[in-house]
Amino acid sequence: MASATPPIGREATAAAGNGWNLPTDTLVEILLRLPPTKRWRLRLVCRHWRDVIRDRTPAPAPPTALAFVVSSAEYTAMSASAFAIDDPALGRCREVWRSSNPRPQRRYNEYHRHVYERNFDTAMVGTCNGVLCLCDNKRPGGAISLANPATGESLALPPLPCSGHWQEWGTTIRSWHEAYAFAHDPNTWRYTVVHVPSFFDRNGVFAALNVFTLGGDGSSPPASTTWREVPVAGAAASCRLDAGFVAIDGTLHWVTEGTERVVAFDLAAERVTSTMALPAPEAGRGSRWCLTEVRGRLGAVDYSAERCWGTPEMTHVWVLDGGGRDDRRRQVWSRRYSVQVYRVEQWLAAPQFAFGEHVLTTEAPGGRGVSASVFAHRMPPGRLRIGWKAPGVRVSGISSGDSRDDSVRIHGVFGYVENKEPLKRFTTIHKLRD
Amino acid sequence: MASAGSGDEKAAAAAMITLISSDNEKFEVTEATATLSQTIRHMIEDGCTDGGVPLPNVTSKILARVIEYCKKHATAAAGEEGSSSSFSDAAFLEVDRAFLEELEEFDDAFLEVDRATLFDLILAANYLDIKGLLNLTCQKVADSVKGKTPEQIREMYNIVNDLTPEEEAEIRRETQWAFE
Repeated sequence: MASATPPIGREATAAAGNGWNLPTDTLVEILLRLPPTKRWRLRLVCRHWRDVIRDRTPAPAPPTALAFVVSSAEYTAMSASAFAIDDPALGRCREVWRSSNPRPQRRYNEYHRHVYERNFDTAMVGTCNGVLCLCDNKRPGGAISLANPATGESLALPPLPCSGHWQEWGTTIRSWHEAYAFAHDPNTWRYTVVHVPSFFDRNGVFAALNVFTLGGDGSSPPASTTWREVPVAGAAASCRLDAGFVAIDGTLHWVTEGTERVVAFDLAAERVTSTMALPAPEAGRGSRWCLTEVRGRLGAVDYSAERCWGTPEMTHVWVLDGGGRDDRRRQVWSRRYSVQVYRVEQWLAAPQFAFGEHVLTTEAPGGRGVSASVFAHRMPPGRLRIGWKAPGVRVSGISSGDSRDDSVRIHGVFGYVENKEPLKRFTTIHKLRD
Repeated sequence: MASAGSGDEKAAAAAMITLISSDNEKFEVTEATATLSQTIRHMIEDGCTDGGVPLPNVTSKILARVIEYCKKHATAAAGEEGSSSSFSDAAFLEVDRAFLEELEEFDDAFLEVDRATLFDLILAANYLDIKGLLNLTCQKVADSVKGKTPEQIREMYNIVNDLTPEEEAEIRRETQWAFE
C-alpha cells in the first residue's frame, strides 16, 4: 500500500489550508445527492467544483409547461387539475395533480332549476421546484396551501393575521390569489410565499409585505411558522397585481404602479435591491406589461391593451440580459420575440410561454368562458406569426375526465420541474403540525 | 441472529480478523463485521489476512469509529437475513421495525462529529469500500451544503474561489435551458 499519502485521520490533512480534502470521486458522490438545480448552482464555488459538476453529474432538466385548469359545470367551478405538457411538439400531456375537493351538492333554486353551490374556487399562485402553491379564493384574503404532485403531499399554511378584517368582503372578491407570489431561492433552498397587501389601495401602495418562509437550513432570516411583515419603503412599495410576479435566481420581481418600474426583491436578504425601468414601449401603443420568465431570465411582455382576437397587434417580449445578480447596472432589456396572432383565438400563454424551442398559446376564452386548449408553436428566430394557416399543434388530453363537467378553462401555464423531495422535510412543518 | 445456518456458516461467523491501523493499533473483529468492507472482503477471499490486515491509510481513532459502525450494521444485516428466511409473522416484523428505528438513531448519533472527523470517515469509507457508511457520510455533507450559498460553502470548507469575474458571470448566465 502506498504510504506516501498521509493516513486518514491525521490532523495534518485538514490543516493543509484547503478544508476540502476529499478526492474527486467522493465529491461526485456528494454532489449526486443534491437536487440537480441546487447542484448546478454550486458551479459558482470554484473551478474544480464547476468542472466536476459540468463533466461528471447530470445537468438539471429544463422546466416543462404545466397548465392549471379548472373544470366547471353549469358555470360553476367544480375541481381543478394540473397537466404537464411533456412533449409540446407532439401535443402530449399528462395529469400530474387533481384537487381533492368533494363534488358539490346539486340544489334547486327559486325557479326550480338545478344549481350547484359554489364551494370550490382554487387558483394557482405559482409553482417552484416541483411544489405547487394554491390559493383557496373562497376564504377572505385567500387561504394558501402547498402541494407536491411527485410525492402526493400537501400542506396548508396558516391564514394571514389580517384576514379577519376582510371577512366583510366575503365572496365578492374572487381573485385573492393575484396578491400572492411564490418563490424558491436556489441559494438558501427556501420557499417563500409573499403577500402584497395592496388589494384595497387604489394606488396599489403598501407599507410592508407579508412573508412566509419554509425549508432551508435555518440560517437567518429563519424559516417561519407564522406570517412576518417585511417593511418596504419608497418607490418600490406599490404593485400592479395584473403584471404578476416572477422569481428568478433568488430575486422576486414585480411592477410598480404609476411610474411602472420593475422591482428586484432579494429573497435571502428580504429587502429591495433595485428598481429598474421597463423597456420603452413602441410609439403610439397603449401598452400593458406583464412579467414572465424566458429560459431562466426575467422577461416582460408588452401587449396592447385591447386583447381581443383578430387584432393583428404585435405582442413583444423583452428579456433582461447581462450583469447578473451582483451587477444590475449592466443589465439591459433586449427585444427577443414578437408574436402576432391573426384571426385565430389564441393568446400567448401566461405567466410563462417559452418552453425549450416552443412558444405556447392558450385558446382565448369564448362566449361561455371556455378555454380548453393549449397550442404549441415552434419559435422561428425573431417573429412568430400565428394565424389560421399556422395555428400550431393542439395539445390533446386536457380535460376534466368527468362527463358531468361542461367545460375546462385554463387558468395559467407555469414552468414545472418534478421534485421528489418530501415536503415533510421542512423543519417548520413539524412545528406547524404540533 | 443468523444462527439457523449450517455448522460451516457458524464457524465462518465466529472467525476473527485482526485490523492494524496506521499507528500500529490492533483491532480484533468478527469476519461478519470486517466484510462490510469490500476491500477487506476481497483480502479475505484472497486468503491474505493471516497475521492481521494492515491499514496504513487509517488512524486508530478513525478505525475505531469505523468498526463501531460496522459492528452495529453487521448485526443489522444478520437480523435481516434471519427475517427473510425463517420469520414472516407480524410480531417479528414489529421487532424488525423497532430495530431499524434503533439503527437510524444510531446513525444519527454516529454522525454527531466535527467536520474533520466526518471527512476522515468519508475517506476511510471510500478506501475500505463500505457502501453504507459512504452513503451515510456523503448524505450528511450534502445536507450541510444544501441550504448554503456558494459563498457560505467556500467559507465553511476554506475553499479558495479561483473563478475570474468573467467565468462567474458566464456561469450565472448559463442556465442549462438557456441554449439560444
